[in-house]
Amino acid sequence: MRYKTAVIPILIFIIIIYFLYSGLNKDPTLIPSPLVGKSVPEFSSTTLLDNEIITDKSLIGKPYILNVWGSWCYGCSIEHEYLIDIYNKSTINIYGLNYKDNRIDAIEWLKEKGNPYKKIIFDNTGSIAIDFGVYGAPETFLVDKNGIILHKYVGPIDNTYYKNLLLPEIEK
Amino acid sequence: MKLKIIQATVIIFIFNVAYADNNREYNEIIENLRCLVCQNQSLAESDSNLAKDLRSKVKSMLESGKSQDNIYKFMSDRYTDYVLYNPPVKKSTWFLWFSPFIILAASIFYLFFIFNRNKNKYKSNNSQDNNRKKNNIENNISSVEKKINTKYLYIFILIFIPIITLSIYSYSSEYMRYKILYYFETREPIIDITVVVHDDILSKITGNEVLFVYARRSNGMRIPLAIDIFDVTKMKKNYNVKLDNTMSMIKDQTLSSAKEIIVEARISKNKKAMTMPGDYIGSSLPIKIGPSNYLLIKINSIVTGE
Repeated sequence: MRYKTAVIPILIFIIIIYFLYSGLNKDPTLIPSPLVGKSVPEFSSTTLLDNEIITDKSLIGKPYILNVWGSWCYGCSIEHEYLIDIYNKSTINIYGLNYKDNRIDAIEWLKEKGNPYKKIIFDNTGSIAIDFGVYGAPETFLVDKNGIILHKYVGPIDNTYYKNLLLPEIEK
Repeated sequence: MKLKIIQATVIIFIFNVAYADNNREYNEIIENLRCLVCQNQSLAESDSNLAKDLRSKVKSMLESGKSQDNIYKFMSDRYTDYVLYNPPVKKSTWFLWFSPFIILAASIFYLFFIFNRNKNKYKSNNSQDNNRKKNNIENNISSVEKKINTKYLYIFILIFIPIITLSIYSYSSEYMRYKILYYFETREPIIDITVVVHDDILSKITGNEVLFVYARRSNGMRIPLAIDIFDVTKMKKNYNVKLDNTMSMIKDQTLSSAKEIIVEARISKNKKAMTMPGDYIGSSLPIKIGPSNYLLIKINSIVTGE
Protein backbone atom coordinates (compact mmCIF):
# COMPACT_ATOMS: atom_id res chain seq x y z
CA MET A 1 0.00 0.00 0.00
CA ARG A 2 2.74 2.41 0.99
CA TYR A 3 4.69 1.81 -2.19
CA LYS A 4 1.60 2.35 -4.30
CA THR A 5 0.91 5.79 -2.91
CA ALA A 6 4.54 6.77 -3.37
CA VAL A 7 4.16 6.22 -7.10
CA ILE A 8 1.84 9.21 -7.52
CA PRO A 9 4.18 12.05 -6.45
CA ILE A 10 7.05 10.44 -8.32
CA LEU A 11 4.95 10.29 -11.46
CA ILE A 12 3.96 13.93 -11.08
CA PHE A 13 7.59 14.83 -10.51
CA ILE A 14 8.66 13.04 -13.68
CA ILE A 15 5.97 14.78 -15.73
CA ILE A 16 6.99 18.20 -14.46
CA ILE A 17 10.66 17.47 -15.09
CA TYR A 18 9.83 16.38 -18.62
CA PHE A 19 8.06 19.66 -19.40
CA LEU A 20 10.74 21.80 -17.81
CA TYR A 21 13.56 19.91 -19.48
CA SER A 22 11.99 20.07 -22.94
CA GLY A 23 11.58 23.80 -22.41
CA LEU A 24 15.30 24.18 -21.78
CA ASN A 25 16.26 23.17 -25.28
CA LYS A 26 13.88 25.56 -27.01
CA ASP A 27 15.06 28.91 -28.26
CA PRO A 28 12.32 31.35 -27.24
CA THR A 29 13.48 33.95 -29.75
CA LEU A 30 12.60 31.67 -32.66
CA ILE A 31 8.98 32.15 -33.50
CA PRO A 32 7.64 29.79 -36.16
CA SER A 33 6.10 31.74 -38.98
CA PRO A 34 2.39 31.16 -39.53
CA LEU A 35 2.99 32.21 -43.12
CA VAL A 36 4.88 29.05 -44.10
CA GLY A 37 2.71 27.20 -46.61
CA LYS A 38 0.75 30.32 -47.42
CA SER A 39 1.21 32.72 -50.26
CA VAL A 40 3.25 35.87 -49.93
CA PRO A 41 1.13 38.70 -48.46
CA GLU A 42 -0.07 41.35 -50.86
CA PHE A 43 1.99 44.48 -51.05
CA SER A 44 2.66 47.33 -53.37
CA SER A 45 5.67 49.58 -53.13
CA THR A 46 8.51 51.01 -55.15
CA THR A 47 11.93 49.56 -55.77
CA LEU A 48 14.87 51.04 -53.94
CA LEU A 49 17.15 51.73 -56.88
CA ASP A 50 14.90 52.51 -59.86
CA ASN A 51 11.82 53.74 -58.02
CA GLU A 52 9.57 51.46 -60.09
CA ILE A 53 6.34 50.02 -58.83
CA ILE A 54 6.69 46.50 -57.43
CA THR A 55 3.94 44.22 -56.12
CA ASP A 56 3.70 40.65 -54.84
CA LYS A 57 2.45 39.61 -58.30
CA SER A 58 5.59 40.80 -60.06
CA LEU A 59 7.73 38.28 -58.16
CA ILE A 60 5.72 35.20 -59.15
CA GLY A 61 7.08 32.85 -61.84
CA LYS A 62 10.36 31.53 -60.47
CA PRO A 63 11.35 30.45 -56.97
CA TYR A 64 13.14 33.16 -55.07
CA ILE A 65 14.69 34.25 -51.80
CA LEU A 66 13.34 37.30 -50.08
CA ASN A 67 15.86 38.81 -47.73
CA VAL A 68 14.82 41.46 -45.20
CA TRP A 69 17.63 43.89 -44.50
CA GLY A 70 18.53 47.43 -43.59
CA SER A 71 21.71 49.45 -43.66
CA TRP A 72 21.35 50.00 -39.90
CA CYS A 73 21.31 46.28 -39.19
CA TYR A 74 24.51 44.65 -37.98
CA GLY A 75 23.40 41.08 -38.68
CA CYS A 76 22.72 42.03 -42.28
CA SER A 77 26.31 43.10 -42.84
CA ILE A 78 27.46 39.74 -41.46
CA GLU A 79 25.24 37.67 -43.73
CA HIS A 80 25.83 39.81 -46.80
CA GLU A 81 28.84 37.89 -48.06
CA TYR A 82 26.81 34.66 -47.98
CA LEU A 83 24.06 36.28 -50.02
CA ILE A 84 26.65 37.31 -52.58
CA ASP A 85 27.97 33.76 -52.46
CA ILE A 86 24.50 32.40 -53.27
CA TYR A 87 24.20 34.97 -56.06
CA ASN A 88 27.45 33.68 -57.59
CA LYS A 89 26.78 29.96 -57.11
CA SER A 90 23.13 29.65 -57.94
CA THR A 91 20.58 30.90 -60.41
CA ILE A 92 17.89 31.54 -57.85
CA ASN A 93 16.60 35.10 -57.74
CA ILE A 94 17.30 37.08 -54.62
CA TYR A 95 14.94 39.91 -53.79
CA GLY A 96 15.50 42.33 -50.96
CA LEU A 97 13.08 44.02 -48.61
CA ASN A 98 14.70 47.18 -47.38
CA TYR A 99 13.27 47.50 -43.88
CA LYS A 100 12.90 50.83 -42.04
CA ASP A 101 15.78 52.46 -43.81
CA ASN A 102 16.31 55.61 -45.78
CA ARG A 103 17.08 55.52 -49.45
CA ILE A 104 20.43 57.29 -49.38
CA ASP A 105 21.93 55.15 -46.61
CA ALA A 106 20.66 51.96 -48.23
CA ILE A 107 22.08 52.75 -51.66
CA GLU A 108 25.38 53.82 -50.11
CA TRP A 109 25.52 50.54 -48.14
CA LEU A 110 24.93 48.47 -51.30
CA LYS A 111 27.61 50.35 -53.21
CA GLU A 112 30.06 49.53 -50.47
CA LYS A 113 29.19 45.86 -50.03
CA GLY A 114 27.92 44.80 -53.43
CA ASN A 115 24.38 44.13 -54.64
CA PRO A 116 23.18 40.52 -54.89
CA TYR A 117 19.54 41.57 -55.18
CA LYS A 118 17.59 41.46 -58.40
CA LYS A 119 15.13 44.00 -57.08
CA ILE A 120 14.69 45.61 -53.70
CA ILE A 121 11.34 46.50 -52.22
CA PHE A 122 11.54 49.79 -50.39
CA ASP A 123 9.65 49.72 -47.08
CA ASN A 124 10.70 52.65 -44.94
CA THR A 125 7.60 52.57 -42.74
CA GLY A 126 7.92 48.85 -42.00
CA SER A 127 4.28 48.20 -42.88
CA ILE A 128 5.07 45.55 -45.51
CA ALA A 129 7.39 43.87 -43.04
CA ILE A 130 4.55 43.68 -40.50
CA ASP A 131 2.47 41.80 -43.07
CA PHE A 132 5.38 39.42 -43.51
CA GLY A 133 5.55 38.90 -39.75
CA VAL A 134 9.05 40.32 -39.57
CA TYR A 135 10.22 41.02 -36.05
CA GLY A 136 13.92 41.55 -36.52
CA ALA A 137 16.18 41.93 -39.50
CA PRO A 138 17.77 39.98 -41.05
CA GLU A 139 15.10 37.47 -41.99
CA THR A 140 15.13 35.32 -45.09
CA PHE A 141 12.11 33.80 -46.80
CA LEU A 142 12.28 31.02 -49.35
CA VAL A 143 9.39 31.24 -51.83
CA ASP A 144 8.41 28.82 -54.57
CA LYS A 145 7.43 29.66 -58.13
CA ASN A 146 3.76 30.03 -57.23
CA GLY A 147 4.49 32.55 -54.52
CA ILE A 148 4.05 30.11 -51.64
CA ILE A 149 6.39 30.65 -48.69
CA LEU A 150 8.38 27.44 -48.08
CA HIS A 151 10.61 28.49 -45.25
CA LYS A 152 11.53 31.38 -43.03
CA TYR A 153 14.94 31.87 -41.51
CA VAL A 154 15.48 34.35 -38.70
CA GLY A 155 18.93 35.78 -38.15
CA PRO A 156 22.00 36.05 -40.37
CA ILE A 157 22.29 33.18 -42.83
CA ASP A 158 25.55 31.32 -43.38
CA ASN A 159 26.93 28.46 -45.48
CA THR A 160 24.56 25.93 -43.98
CA TYR A 161 21.61 27.86 -45.33
CA TYR A 162 22.82 27.29 -48.87
CA LYS A 163 23.86 23.68 -48.31
CA ASN A 164 21.02 22.39 -46.18
CA LEU A 165 18.07 24.46 -47.30
CA LEU A 166 18.60 25.99 -50.67
CA LEU A 167 20.33 23.17 -52.56
CA PRO A 168 17.73 20.48 -51.71
CA GLU A 169 14.98 22.93 -52.64
CA ILE A 170 16.56 23.77 -55.97
CA GLU A 171 17.23 20.14 -56.83
CA LYS A 172 13.60 19.20 -56.28
CA MET B 1 -6.16 79.56 -1.07
CA LYS B 2 -4.13 76.54 -0.16
CA LEU B 3 -7.24 74.44 -0.19
CA LYS B 4 -8.13 75.65 -3.66
CA ILE B 5 -4.72 74.68 -5.01
CA ILE B 6 -5.06 71.24 -3.51
CA GLN B 7 -8.53 70.93 -4.98
CA ALA B 8 -7.24 71.99 -8.37
CA THR B 9 -4.41 69.47 -8.37
CA VAL B 10 -6.75 66.72 -7.29
CA ILE B 11 -9.23 67.55 -10.03
CA ILE B 12 -6.54 67.82 -12.72
CA PHE B 13 -5.11 64.51 -11.63
CA ILE B 14 -8.54 62.95 -11.78
CA PHE B 15 -9.16 64.34 -15.23
CA ASN B 16 -5.92 62.84 -16.43
CA VAL B 17 -7.10 59.49 -15.16
CA ALA B 18 -10.30 60.01 -17.08
CA TYR B 19 -8.31 60.81 -20.21
CA ALA B 20 -6.43 57.58 -19.84
CA ASP B 21 -9.75 55.87 -19.40
CA ASN B 22 -10.86 57.08 -22.80
CA ASN B 23 -8.05 55.11 -24.32
CA ARG B 24 -8.99 52.06 -22.32
CA GLU B 25 -9.53 49.81 -25.30
CA TYR B 26 -6.24 50.81 -26.91
CA ASN B 27 -4.35 50.31 -23.66
CA GLU B 28 -6.00 46.99 -23.06
CA ILE B 29 -5.02 45.72 -26.50
CA ILE B 30 -1.38 46.75 -26.34
CA GLU B 31 -1.07 45.26 -22.88
CA ASN B 32 -2.31 41.96 -24.20
CA LEU B 33 0.15 41.78 -27.08
CA ARG B 34 3.70 40.58 -26.66
CA CYS B 35 6.56 42.56 -28.07
CA LEU B 36 8.51 40.11 -30.20
CA VAL B 37 11.82 41.85 -29.73
CA CYS B 38 11.83 42.07 -25.95
CA GLN B 39 9.75 39.04 -25.23
CA ASN B 40 9.02 39.58 -21.59
CA GLN B 41 7.44 42.93 -22.32
CA SER B 42 4.09 43.82 -23.76
CA LEU B 43 3.69 46.27 -26.62
CA ALA B 44 2.70 48.84 -24.02
CA GLU B 45 5.95 48.51 -22.13
CA SER B 46 8.45 47.94 -24.89
CA ASP B 47 10.44 50.74 -26.43
CA SER B 48 11.66 48.82 -29.47
CA ASN B 49 11.02 50.09 -32.96
CA LEU B 50 8.85 47.14 -33.82
CA ALA B 51 6.68 47.79 -30.76
CA LYS B 52 6.28 51.41 -31.81
CA ASP B 53 5.21 50.33 -35.30
CA LEU B 54 2.79 47.76 -33.96
CA ARG B 55 1.33 50.24 -31.47
CA SER B 56 0.63 52.71 -34.23
CA LYS B 57 -0.84 49.87 -36.28
CA VAL B 58 -3.20 49.01 -33.42
CA LYS B 59 -4.17 52.67 -33.08
CA SER B 60 -4.89 53.08 -36.77
CA MET B 61 -6.87 49.85 -36.85
CA LEU B 62 -8.96 51.02 -33.89
CA GLU B 63 -9.55 54.37 -35.55
CA SER B 64 -10.70 52.68 -38.72
CA GLY B 65 -13.31 50.87 -36.65
CA LYS B 66 -11.75 47.42 -36.36
CA SER B 67 -12.84 45.37 -33.37
CA GLN B 68 -10.50 44.00 -30.73
CA ASP B 69 -10.88 40.49 -32.08
CA ASN B 70 -9.97 41.70 -35.55
CA ILE B 71 -6.78 43.21 -34.22
CA TYR B 72 -5.82 40.12 -32.25
CA LYS B 73 -6.42 38.01 -35.35
CA PHE B 74 -4.36 40.37 -37.48
CA MET B 75 -1.45 39.99 -35.08
CA SER B 76 -1.69 36.23 -34.62
CA ASP B 77 -1.95 35.72 -38.40
CA ARG B 78 1.45 37.32 -38.73
CA TYR B 79 3.22 36.45 -35.50
CA THR B 80 1.39 33.28 -34.35
CA ASP B 81 -0.57 32.96 -31.10
CA TYR B 82 2.71 33.56 -29.32
CA VAL B 83 2.05 37.27 -29.71
CA LEU B 84 -1.10 37.01 -27.61
CA TYR B 85 -0.72 37.12 -23.84
CA ASN B 86 -4.13 35.49 -23.62
CA PRO B 87 -3.74 32.34 -25.68
CA PRO B 88 -6.98 31.19 -27.34
CA VAL B 89 -8.64 28.01 -26.13
CA LYS B 90 -7.88 25.28 -28.65
CA LYS B 91 -6.53 21.76 -28.73
CA SER B 92 -2.89 22.59 -28.12
CA THR B 93 -3.65 25.05 -25.32
CA TRP B 94 -6.30 22.90 -23.70
CA PHE B 95 -3.91 21.70 -21.03
CA LEU B 96 -2.75 25.21 -20.31
CA TRP B 97 -6.26 26.51 -19.76
CA PHE B 98 -7.88 23.67 -17.91
CA SER B 99 -5.07 22.05 -15.96
CA PRO B 100 -5.59 24.33 -12.91
CA PHE B 101 -9.22 23.21 -12.71
CA ILE B 102 -8.35 19.59 -13.25
CA ILE B 103 -5.70 19.71 -10.54
CA LEU B 104 -8.17 21.47 -8.25
CA ALA B 105 -10.86 18.86 -8.86
CA ALA B 106 -8.39 16.03 -8.42
CA SER B 107 -7.14 17.43 -5.12
CA ILE B 108 -10.67 17.87 -3.82
CA PHE B 109 -11.48 14.27 -4.69
CA TYR B 110 -8.30 13.17 -3.05
CA LEU B 111 -9.15 15.07 0.13
CA PHE B 112 -12.63 13.53 0.14
CA PHE B 113 -11.07 10.15 -0.20
CA ILE B 114 -8.77 10.75 2.76
CA PHE B 115 -11.52 12.10 5.00
CA ASN B 116 -13.83 9.25 4.17
CA ARG B 117 -11.14 6.72 4.87
CA ASN B 118 -10.33 8.28 8.25
CA LYS B 119 -13.99 8.38 9.12
CA ASN B 120 -14.45 4.70 8.32
CA LYS B 121 -11.39 3.83 10.33
CA TYR B 122 -12.76 5.75 13.25
CA LYS B 123 -16.14 4.08 12.98
CA SER B 124 -14.66 0.63 12.98
CA ASN B 125 -12.44 1.51 15.92
CA ASN B 126 -15.46 2.87 17.65
CA SER B 127 -17.52 -0.25 17.26
CA GLN B 128 -14.68 -2.37 18.61
CA ASP B 129 -14.38 -0.05 21.55
CA ASN B 130 -18.09 -0.28 22.14
CA ASN B 131 -17.84 -4.01 22.27
CA ARG B 132 -15.10 -3.79 24.86
CA LYS B 133 -16.30 -0.93 27.07
CA LYS B 134 -19.90 0.07 26.71
CA ASN B 135 -21.15 3.63 27.20
CA ASN B 136 -17.84 5.27 26.82
CA ILE B 137 -19.00 8.89 26.94
CA GLU B 138 -15.71 10.45 26.09
CA ASN B 139 -15.50 8.51 22.89
CA ASN B 140 -18.98 9.52 21.82
CA ILE B 141 -18.29 13.17 22.37
CA SER B 142 -15.11 13.09 20.37
CA SER B 143 -16.88 11.27 17.55
CA VAL B 144 -19.55 13.99 17.41
CA GLU B 145 -16.82 16.59 17.43
CA LYS B 146 -15.07 14.85 14.62
CA LYS B 147 -18.24 14.69 12.55
CA ILE B 148 -18.83 18.40 12.90
CA ASN B 149 -15.24 19.17 12.03
CA THR B 150 -15.27 17.16 8.85
CA LYS B 151 -18.59 18.72 7.87
CA TYR B 152 -17.13 22.21 8.10
CA LEU B 153 -14.07 21.09 6.23
CA TYR B 154 -16.24 19.83 3.38
CA ILE B 155 -18.06 23.14 3.22
CA PHE B 156 -14.81 25.03 3.27
CA ILE B 157 -13.33 22.92 0.51
CA LEU B 158 -16.41 23.01 -1.65
CA ILE B 159 -17.08 26.72 -1.37
CA PHE B 160 -14.02 28.67 -0.45
CA ILE B 161 -11.20 26.95 -2.26
CA PRO B 162 -12.81 27.26 -5.70
CA ILE B 163 -13.65 30.90 -5.03
CA ILE B 164 -10.14 31.69 -3.86
CA THR B 165 -8.57 29.83 -6.76
CA LEU B 166 -10.82 31.51 -9.29
CA SER B 167 -10.14 34.94 -7.91
CA ILE B 168 -6.39 34.41 -7.93
CA TYR B 169 -6.66 33.01 -11.42
CA SER B 170 -8.63 35.93 -12.74
CA TYR B 171 -6.82 38.65 -10.86
CA SER B 172 -3.52 37.50 -12.28
CA SER B 173 -4.62 38.81 -15.64
CA GLU B 174 -5.41 42.45 -16.28
CA TYR B 175 -7.74 41.50 -19.07
CA MET B 176 -9.82 39.11 -16.97
CA ARG B 177 -9.98 41.69 -14.24
CA TYR B 178 -11.55 44.18 -16.61
CA LYS B 179 -14.04 41.62 -17.79
CA ILE B 180 -15.08 40.63 -14.30
CA LEU B 181 -15.29 44.17 -12.99
CA TYR B 182 -17.42 45.28 -15.90
CA TYR B 183 -19.66 42.31 -15.54
CA PHE B 184 -20.59 43.22 -12.01
CA GLU B 185 -20.71 46.97 -12.42
CA THR B 186 -24.18 48.26 -13.05
CA ARG B 187 -24.49 50.96 -15.64
CA GLU B 188 -27.80 52.32 -14.51
CA PRO B 189 -28.82 55.07 -14.08
CA ILE B 190 -28.08 56.32 -17.56
CA ILE B 191 -28.40 59.97 -18.44
CA ASP B 192 -29.01 60.63 -22.10
CA ILE B 193 -27.79 64.07 -23.04
CA THR B 194 -27.97 66.05 -26.24
CA VAL B 195 -25.48 68.87 -26.31
CA VAL B 196 -26.18 71.67 -28.76
CA VAL B 197 -23.50 74.23 -29.50
CA HIS B 198 -24.71 77.75 -30.28
CA ASP B 199 -23.92 78.94 -33.79
CA ASP B 200 -21.94 82.00 -32.64
CA ILE B 201 -19.74 79.80 -30.49
CA LEU B 202 -19.40 77.21 -33.22
CA SER B 203 -17.89 79.81 -35.52
CA LYS B 204 -15.24 80.69 -32.92
CA ILE B 205 -13.96 77.16 -32.48
CA THR B 206 -10.34 76.77 -33.57
CA GLY B 207 -10.03 73.00 -33.24
CA ASN B 208 -7.79 72.94 -30.20
CA GLU B 209 -10.59 72.66 -27.70
CA VAL B 210 -11.86 69.86 -25.54
CA LEU B 211 -15.50 69.26 -24.76
CA PHE B 212 -16.23 68.07 -21.25
CA VAL B 213 -19.67 66.70 -20.45
CA TYR B 214 -20.11 65.83 -16.81
CA ALA B 215 -22.61 65.46 -14.04
CA ARG B 216 -22.01 66.81 -10.56
CA ARG B 217 -23.99 67.07 -7.38
CA SER B 218 -26.35 70.03 -7.31
CA ASN B 219 -24.91 71.01 -3.97
CA GLY B 220 -21.65 70.18 -2.32
CA MET B 221 -18.73 68.60 -4.07
CA ARG B 222 -17.90 69.83 -7.54
CA ILE B 223 -16.07 66.64 -8.46
CA PRO B 224 -17.77 65.03 -11.45
CA LEU B 225 -19.77 61.89 -10.78
CA ALA B 226 -19.60 60.86 -14.39
CA ILE B 227 -17.68 62.41 -17.22
CA ASP B 228 -17.13 62.07 -20.93
CA ILE B 229 -14.46 63.92 -22.84
CA PHE B 230 -14.30 64.71 -26.54
CA ASP B 231 -11.19 65.93 -28.25
CA VAL B 232 -12.54 68.46 -30.69
CA THR B 233 -10.71 68.76 -33.94
CA LYS B 234 -13.84 69.53 -35.90
CA MET B 235 -16.69 70.72 -33.74
CA LYS B 236 -20.07 69.27 -34.51
CA LYS B 237 -23.26 71.12 -33.77
CA ASN B 238 -24.78 68.29 -31.79
CA TYR B 239 -23.32 65.73 -29.49
CA ASN B 240 -25.13 62.75 -28.07
CA VAL B 241 -23.63 61.74 -24.77
CA LYS B 242 -24.60 58.98 -22.42
CA LEU B 243 -23.35 59.24 -18.87
CA ASP B 244 -23.67 56.21 -16.66
CA ASN B 245 -22.49 54.73 -13.40
CA THR B 246 -19.31 53.27 -14.86
CA MET B 247 -17.98 56.66 -15.86
CA SER B 248 -17.19 57.86 -12.38
CA MET B 249 -13.70 58.75 -11.36
CA ILE B 250 -13.65 58.10 -7.65
CA LYS B 251 -14.90 55.00 -5.98
CA ASP B 252 -18.37 55.46 -4.50
CA GLN B 253 -18.77 58.87 -6.14
CA THR B 254 -21.13 57.62 -8.81
CA LEU B 255 -24.34 58.86 -10.32
CA SER B 256 -26.43 56.56 -8.20
CA SER B 257 -24.88 58.01 -5.03
CA ALA B 258 -26.37 61.44 -5.73
CA LYS B 259 -29.97 62.47 -5.33
CA GLU B 260 -29.91 65.60 -7.36
CA ILE B 261 -27.44 66.48 -10.08
CA ILE B 262 -26.51 69.21 -12.50
CA VAL B 263 -25.14 68.30 -15.89
CA GLU B 264 -22.72 70.70 -17.50
CA ALA B 265 -21.15 70.81 -20.93
CA ARG B 266 -18.07 72.94 -21.28
CA ILE B 267 -15.77 73.67 -24.17
CA SER B 268 -12.33 74.27 -22.72
CA LYS B 269 -9.90 76.32 -24.76
CA ASN B 270 -6.74 75.29 -22.96
CA LYS B 271 -7.90 71.75 -22.19
CA LYS B 272 -7.90 72.43 -18.47
CA ALA B 273 -10.00 70.53 -16.02
CA MET B 274 -10.77 73.71 -14.11
CA THR B 275 -13.30 76.15 -15.44
CA MET B 276 -11.35 79.04 -16.90
CA PRO B 277 -12.46 82.47 -18.09
CA GLY B 278 -13.14 82.26 -21.81
CA ASP B 279 -14.57 78.75 -21.69
CA TYR B 280 -17.95 78.19 -23.28
CA ILE B 281 -20.44 76.58 -20.98
CA GLY B 282 -23.98 75.32 -20.82
CA SER B 283 -25.67 73.66 -17.89
CA SER B 284 -28.88 71.98 -16.95
CA LEU B 285 -31.17 72.81 -14.09
CA PRO B 286 -30.82 70.57 -11.04
CA ILE B 287 -32.55 67.29 -11.84
CA LYS B 288 -33.51 64.29 -9.79
CA ILE B 289 -32.21 61.04 -11.21
CA GLY B 290 -34.85 58.62 -12.41
CA PRO B 291 -34.48 55.32 -14.23
CA SER B 292 -34.24 57.12 -17.57
CA ASN B 293 -33.21 60.73 -17.99
CA TYR B 294 -33.19 62.84 -21.11
CA LEU B 295 -31.57 66.22 -21.12
CA LEU B 296 -30.93 68.97 -23.61
CA ILE B 297 -28.02 71.26 -22.89
CA LYS B 298 -27.28 74.35 -24.91
CA ILE B 299 -23.77 75.71 -24.82
CA ASN B 300 -24.54 79.39 -25.09
CA SER B 301 -22.54 81.40 -22.59
CA ILE B 302 -18.98 82.39 -21.94
CA VAL B 303 -17.32 82.08 -18.54
CA THR B 304 -16.21 85.52 -17.38
CA GLY B 305 -13.86 85.87 -14.44
CA GLU B 306 -13.83 83.69 -11.39
